[in-house]
Amino acid sequence: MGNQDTLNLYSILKSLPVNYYLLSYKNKTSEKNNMLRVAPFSRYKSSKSKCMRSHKPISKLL
Amino acid sequence: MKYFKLYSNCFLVEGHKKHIICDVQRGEIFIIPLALSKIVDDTFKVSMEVINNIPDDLIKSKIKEVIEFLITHELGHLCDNPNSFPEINKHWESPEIINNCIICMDNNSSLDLADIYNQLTELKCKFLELRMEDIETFINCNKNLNDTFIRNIDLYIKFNEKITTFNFVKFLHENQRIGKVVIFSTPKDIANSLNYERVFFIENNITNIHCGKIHENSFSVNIDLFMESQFHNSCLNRKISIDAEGNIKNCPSMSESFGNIKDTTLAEAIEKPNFKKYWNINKDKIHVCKDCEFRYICTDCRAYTEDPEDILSKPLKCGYNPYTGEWSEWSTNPLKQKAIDFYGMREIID
Repeated sequence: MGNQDTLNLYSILKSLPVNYYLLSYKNKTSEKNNMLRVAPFSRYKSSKSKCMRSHKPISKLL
Repeated sequence: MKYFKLYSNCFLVEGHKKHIICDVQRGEIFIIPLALSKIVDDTFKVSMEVINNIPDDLIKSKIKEVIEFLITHELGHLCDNPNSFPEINKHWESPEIINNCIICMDNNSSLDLADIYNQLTELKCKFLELRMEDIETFINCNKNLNDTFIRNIDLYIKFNEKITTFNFVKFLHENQRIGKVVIFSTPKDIANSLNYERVFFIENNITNIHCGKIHENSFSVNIDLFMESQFHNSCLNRKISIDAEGNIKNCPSMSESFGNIKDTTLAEAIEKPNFKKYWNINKDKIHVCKDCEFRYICTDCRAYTEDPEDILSKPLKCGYNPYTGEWSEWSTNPLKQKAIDFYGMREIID
């Protein structure tokens, strides 16, 4: 890993609104900084718990 | 030198607006904004040492924050040699000729369920959905299920007065293959008063035209669907159905028939031209869906599409827009009104 890799990563990040996104979120909340870790990521639970033995719903009637 | 690497069971799926990490082992997904997903994507190539040397402290801290999040949630780890952790092979195979079957029956149907069960066993079918007007129809034939490959049966039964006194506890105990029973068109007061495990009382009517609803609750995060979806249609691959008149179809909501069960076996129908034409239409080939981050955990619908003339059109009853990353009510979308009229489903949404 050399300077070129650093530059590649740096240029990607520079071209993306990483800072903008995080900071804009931060401004919307008065919570502590650790909220940042949760905010950009949200978590979904699988629908496995809904009486389903198959790996997918056979139909989508409901 | 340490490198960050996603665990092999965690897959980054790129959407137009958002990306997700699918943890197919634990059945969870994490939605990641586009900008941050680039970090996940690129850290594999860059060591932590390089990241530590980034001159901009803010960017450096954000990258480390993302990596810390991923490690905390056990989505990835730091390692000396990322090449020591090869990716899971996404090749998908199944011994089943048919995986699932939907059978529709009404009071005028004369289907020989025992014979159909035998045919499904020859095709190694594992999952069955029965839509009936009377639960007695199922009970009269359920002993024939004992010698089949069927692992799960979902029953959709239209409400009738006998249901109120039916012993569901005993019924489910004696029929362990049944995963759930849905009683539809149930009067509201009765629906509220009855409560059984694995039995759902629904006030609304359910017909074939009600199928195809796509929402977050129907997402399934598991390795089987994730891998199958890479190459095949997530709904119609290895599916067969028989409607109330005995017509063999890909799906009960579709009109094309491949013969009648009275004179055509299921095995013969499968080999007819066009029966498998939907099987390999994966989400990467479908308009709009190919840019959706949920495309490998969502089950498709080819019966009702936004453009009925286009086999690769987006499912009509999906309200998600991957270009904005937002959900909305599909039935009020002005661009879908023509298709709603085409399928004659105005009455079910008004």
